[in-house]
Amino acid sequence: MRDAPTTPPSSSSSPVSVPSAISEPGALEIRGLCFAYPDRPEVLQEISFGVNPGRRVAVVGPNGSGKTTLLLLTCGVLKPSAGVVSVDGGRIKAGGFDPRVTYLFQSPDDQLFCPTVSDDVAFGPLNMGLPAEEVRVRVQEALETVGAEALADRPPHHLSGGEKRLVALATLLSMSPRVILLDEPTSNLDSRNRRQVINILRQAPQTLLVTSHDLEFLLEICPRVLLIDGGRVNADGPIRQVLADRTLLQAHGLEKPHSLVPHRHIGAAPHRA
Amino acid sequence: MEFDSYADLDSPVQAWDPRFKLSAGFLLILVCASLSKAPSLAAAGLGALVLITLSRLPLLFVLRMLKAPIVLLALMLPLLVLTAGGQALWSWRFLHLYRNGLILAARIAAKSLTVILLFIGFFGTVRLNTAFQTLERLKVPSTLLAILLFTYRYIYLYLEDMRKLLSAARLRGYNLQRGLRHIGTSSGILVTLLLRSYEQSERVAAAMRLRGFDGSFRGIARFHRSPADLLAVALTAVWICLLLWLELR
Repeated sequence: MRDAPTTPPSSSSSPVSVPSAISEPGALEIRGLCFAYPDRPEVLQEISFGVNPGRRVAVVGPNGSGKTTLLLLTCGVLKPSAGVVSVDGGRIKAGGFDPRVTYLFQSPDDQLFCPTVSDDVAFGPLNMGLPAEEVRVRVQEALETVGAEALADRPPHHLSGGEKRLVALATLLSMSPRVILLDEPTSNLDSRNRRQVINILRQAPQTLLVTSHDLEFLLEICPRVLLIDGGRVNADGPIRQVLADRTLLQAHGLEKPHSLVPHRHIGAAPHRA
Repeated sequence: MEFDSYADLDSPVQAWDPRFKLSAGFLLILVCASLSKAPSLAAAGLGALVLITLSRLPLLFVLRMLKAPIVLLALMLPLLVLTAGGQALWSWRFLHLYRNGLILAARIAAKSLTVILLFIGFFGTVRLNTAFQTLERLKVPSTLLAILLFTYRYIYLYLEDMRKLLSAARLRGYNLQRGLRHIGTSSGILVTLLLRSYEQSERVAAAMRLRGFDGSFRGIARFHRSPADLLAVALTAVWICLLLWLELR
């Protein structure tokens, strides 16, 4: 399906039909994606979905369900055993460099490898062959977007976890990608940094595909969710509808988010039969 | 404190174009490492002190950088003095202070401290990213540069990882002092660190490829050659000639 929900959330829903590749900027299309690790056959089987440009889609599922693998296949770090990933109608080649798609790693230490923050943010634009002046502008803008201008000359290993996460995000934004894949962007963040990440992502014009176990966070930024388990898409629809289905979530090792559970205030008079 | 913390100070050494500075510095360090006579070593040491003074690097910073090498020398050199053999200057029971050992220890100490001071003076006055960009331009193999970069970037991370693993092991009864009994645990910690670093290297490589890395380090530093840079190179050349003359005469 695309962003207009056509598949009601159901634990038994079959893989959805996918329209042909489209060529709008930032349009992401995944068709028949399959992948297996040598010791884990069929991690992903026939995954198909599309995302319209500028839309934000959450990917949820239990541990080991293949969420990270899906993102790594989408950006071309891993090669699928079958299937196609395309952005703007153009195929993403595994192992190649395509600045249209970029990926935020779970650990920012994997993403920050340069001597200073500004070097790290400049790394992508420089490799894209942009002129030095434009690289400087992009670095400045990306750091401003995440509120990390003051960190420009700091070495990454001296940053706090929250600062590292924001700078890692800036390293992607400086490349002006059309699709950003985010793997657990709020893990290990305190409330203030988590809120900052939410604000940045809500304002991002890019197409976003976000995996997280923080369902409350996903509820705030993504109107649509995919539930992956057993290597398949088990549900695809509006996030408030899918995440309100307790039976479906329990069947896939997830819990209904607290904000969707009707509850009484602590201290209210107990109900008597 | 970072190695390049004072790279932006206003001094003639910091202002020297990194391409000329690092080339001249590398050559000078090579020459100093090959010296063995007292006059040439003294001239090299004096020159290194002049370079450090000109660079206006804070004394505390320089001493901090010298701390580890001095500790290492302090551990090694007494052994050399006591075991070198030859004419003994002083004896007490089985302990002998050898003249050859003293001369050799003084030579090693002077040479190593001079080389380290020169390294601090030449390389500590350039921003690390600019230094990598310069070395790339000077045709230093990118694999070597990548190793240097990642060692600098990730050494702190793995030290922290090791501390965490040791703490976790100690909380479950592991004690480093009981080495033999706990050798399995020690090797387990080491293997865990190696595996983690291997896995992380794969993720970092993927992150670099996703941002277009093709084996070349690029930077936005601009290089400007000026007459002062050439003068500095000429002075270094004179210094090198003087050292070689003192060594070979």
